[in-house]
Amino acid sequence: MSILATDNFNRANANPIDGAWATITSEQPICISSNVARETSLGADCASRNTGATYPNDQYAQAKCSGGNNSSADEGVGMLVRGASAARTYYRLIMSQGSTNAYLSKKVSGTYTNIWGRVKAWADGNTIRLEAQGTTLRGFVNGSQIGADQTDSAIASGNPGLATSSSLSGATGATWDDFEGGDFGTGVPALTMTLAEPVLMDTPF
Amino acid sequence: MAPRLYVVPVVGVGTKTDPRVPKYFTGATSLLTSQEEWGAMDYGFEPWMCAGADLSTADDGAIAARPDVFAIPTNLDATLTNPQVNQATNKLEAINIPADWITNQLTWRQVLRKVLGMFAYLQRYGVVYSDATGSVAGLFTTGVTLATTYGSLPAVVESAMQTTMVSLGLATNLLLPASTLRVVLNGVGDQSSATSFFLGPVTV
Repeated sequence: MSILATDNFNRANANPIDGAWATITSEQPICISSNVARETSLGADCASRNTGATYPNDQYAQAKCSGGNNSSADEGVGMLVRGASAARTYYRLIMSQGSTNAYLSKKVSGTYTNIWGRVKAWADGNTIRLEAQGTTLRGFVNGSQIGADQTDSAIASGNPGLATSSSLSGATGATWDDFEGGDFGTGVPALTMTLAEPVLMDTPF
Repeated sequence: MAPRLYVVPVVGVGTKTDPRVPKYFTGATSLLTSQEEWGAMDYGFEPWMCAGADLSTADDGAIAARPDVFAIPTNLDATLTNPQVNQATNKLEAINIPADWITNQLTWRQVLRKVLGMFAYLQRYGVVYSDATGSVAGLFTTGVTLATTYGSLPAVVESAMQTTMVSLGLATNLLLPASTLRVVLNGVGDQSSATSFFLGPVTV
């Protein structure tokens, strides 16, 4: 795998997100607030795709996610892949902390189909990841795959990005940090490690 | 139970509050009592899905007993019996899936790979058609059947079928004006005989 684009959202507030992002046509935007990406609507789906690279069809999207505390069946926070320039066409993985439901869905011109359902507990700051490789889709939390692979042939291409499903009961809604979009090539390897805090030394070397 | 496939109706109209889902597996019609993992492939925008799951014995029994469900045997490498050939053929033909090629010489895996290849084709067709028209529609709209010829379809449908073939790397020589949809879909399915499909915990 290789990283094609990253965004830590550490910049001035902006609605919608500034830089290499585009709101998916007919969905609600995602903004930057207090150095994280944040949904702008608690009552409608939000989705934004990253345009910071030329993405191949085989791609992944991941970010540290928080929120998604609602208990409704298929609502929460997550990632999207193959977000097309056409109106509301993409795959998305949506996870709810409240219900622990995880749903993989596709939207085609806004027509919404759930194609798998799993149960997976997770916590604020966990890394949620969605991969599309050929006709195979996979979801991950902190590097562990959620259930088995899934086949779907509908959507061939597009860009990775961020997505929410409808209203969230959390006071601040869904947020994302440290977005990463990439492919399955052999370029710069994807980093999964966390850098340690610097150690302060009393005595200089 | 063991991992198993079920051909089930699609319920829901595809809106946020009423998404398309496999009947009996989630949403208002769910019969699952243990929140088991499931995964499904839809037949494009036709009203049928094939869902895979490893259900409890009770949940499997509840779903398999429904008259609108076609439950596939768990051993996919067994050949079909003559009654199973008749049952599968009748069920699939009734939902616009060509099945006149099914015999007792085939295993369930061979049958399913060909059928799921047709599912994959109509999935991609649905996106290609919506990109061209801005709206979604199944292939089998009013008056269209497996006996309908490719050449009699609206130009936008013909074009979307052609584009879908190319997009999936399939041979386009099936798309002759006199070819029926039965012939076209059979040909599509034949080209997926070596393809694996993943539906929840079931690998075909």
